Amino acid sequence: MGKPVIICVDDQREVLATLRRELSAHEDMFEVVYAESSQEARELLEEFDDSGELVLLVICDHIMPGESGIDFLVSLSTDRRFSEIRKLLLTGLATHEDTIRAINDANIDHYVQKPWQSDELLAAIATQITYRIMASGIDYQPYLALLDQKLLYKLLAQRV
Amino acid sequence: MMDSSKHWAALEAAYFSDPERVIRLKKGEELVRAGEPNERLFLIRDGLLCGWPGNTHRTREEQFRFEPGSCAGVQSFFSARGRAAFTIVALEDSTVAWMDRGQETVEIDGCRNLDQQFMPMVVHVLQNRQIQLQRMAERQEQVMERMREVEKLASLGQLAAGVAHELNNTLAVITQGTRWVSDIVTRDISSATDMEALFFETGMIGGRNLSTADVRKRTKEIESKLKMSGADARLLAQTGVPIPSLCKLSFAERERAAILHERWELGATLNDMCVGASQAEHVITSMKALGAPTSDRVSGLDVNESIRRALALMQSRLKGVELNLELGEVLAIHGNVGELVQVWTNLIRNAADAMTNAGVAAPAIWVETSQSGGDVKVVVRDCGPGIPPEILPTIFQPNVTTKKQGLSFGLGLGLTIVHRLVTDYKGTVVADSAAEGAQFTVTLPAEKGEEYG
Repeated sequence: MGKPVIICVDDQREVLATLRRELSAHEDMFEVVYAESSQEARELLEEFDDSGELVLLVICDHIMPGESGIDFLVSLSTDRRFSEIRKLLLTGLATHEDTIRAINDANIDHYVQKPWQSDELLAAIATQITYRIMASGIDYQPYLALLDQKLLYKLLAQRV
Repeated sequence: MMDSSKHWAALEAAYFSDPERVIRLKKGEELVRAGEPNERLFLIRDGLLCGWPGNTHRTREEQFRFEPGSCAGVQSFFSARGRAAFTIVALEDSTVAWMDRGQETVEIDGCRNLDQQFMPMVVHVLQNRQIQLQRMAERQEQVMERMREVEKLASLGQLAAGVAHELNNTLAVITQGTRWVSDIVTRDISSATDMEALFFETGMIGGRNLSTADVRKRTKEIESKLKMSGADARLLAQTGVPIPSLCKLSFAERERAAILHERWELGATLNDMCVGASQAEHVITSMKALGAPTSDRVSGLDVNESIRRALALMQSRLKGVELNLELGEVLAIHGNVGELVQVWTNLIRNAADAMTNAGVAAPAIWVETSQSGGDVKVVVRDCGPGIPPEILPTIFQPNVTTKKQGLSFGLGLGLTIVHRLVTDYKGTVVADSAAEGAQFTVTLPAEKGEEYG
């Protein structure tokens, strides 16, 4: 098995570039992949599923040509293979109804508005991948620096 | 009991047939004035009168009509008041018969009491007044509603202009700064190695021209051809520098892949900033046009340019919509670019919304301009569900909207504005609908003094 995976989805390349700069530390420890559409992200997920990689988190925009981000995340939460992947919605434009759908139907784990504050996004990512890593049972030690340490100790305590 | 028409004929004959008790009015003459003593009951014989409660003149919508065969002065005659409730004026030359309580009562259908005899007529008249009042109130409310919405729009336009103005200053700072920084970096980087300069320029000029899928493909190719680690290969892949050029990298340079990538990222980011600033400028120009006062109409206005501006304003709304533009050679018009931008924005947004609401899989909009005789013709077409036939006749009236709730900042006035503006330009706008979609055709007269050909 290769490194655990984080997928970023946004139709705008400048946004993906900005995310890449934010996630430069993560690119060492994790396999960070980028997709410009839900369709592309789905293809990547299928590949990772075939090769048995552990996908931790999807960071996804909402307004995109073709399938919207929230529709994509809904489809993930109803697919048994992908329902455990943490979902972070990163968007500049979502109606009240969209947001309700995101919470109720897509079961998103976190919502960040664009333009985002760097530390808010990094903290949210840390929390989400911590949940996933602990749930997956793999060794968390190598990734300690990028995890939400407070949450980690809480989850460890619950284990005992 | 007699039936009502016979009863009424009997009343007429009994009380209104005295040829001495007739008033002839010229158009504009007053029959009675509200508040002044009146003891007469009037029957309109011919012509037309109008009236309103109180003394101040009212608009056409607020007037009661008195047509031949109807009665006036009912309230004052049958109540204890003895004073006219209405001011009544002749709209045309009219003849009015009258009666008063001084007349001898006539027995009709076994009854000698005047009030009883007239009761059905009085009730009828009062009922009609009620209905008319109700309608007037409704019309009044509609007018108020429209006024409120127009006010809202006017202040939105002002808001847009104000925001645009503020943003302009900020934007100028960013644009200037970006340009200056780009110049300095370009100058400094050329004193670094040739390779670093190449990577920087590729980023600066080409920008981010690779898709994520392309990057993945290139990564694999670079990994194998240059025998590099996945991480380094990915960095070089992103830059878009052609693989043959990468193969020429020296061993030392391949070790510094991260630095080379950073030079590229520097150029690409500066490119992002320039492109972003210019896009923002375009949006702001269009927004400013929205708030421009209607009095600023100029000559030599290019309709095609106004369409481009409208599209600039709608970039994010039109994501995922296939846009087909055919802007032909057209004559200039005399007008205001802000007004034109409003027209196109409304039509295009309607098209986009119609297709979104209907869940059209491959939404597409066509905008075609052409010269048609002395008119500039603009056609905006979509492949949505079309306009429901029951709405089509009134589609340009206020508050006719098929939009669902959700991300729609509309007030149901879009097409009303379009119609108002186009009509103001002495042009026409026509809505057509078919199974393949809706189509709006706008014609605007070209400026006088221009000749075609």
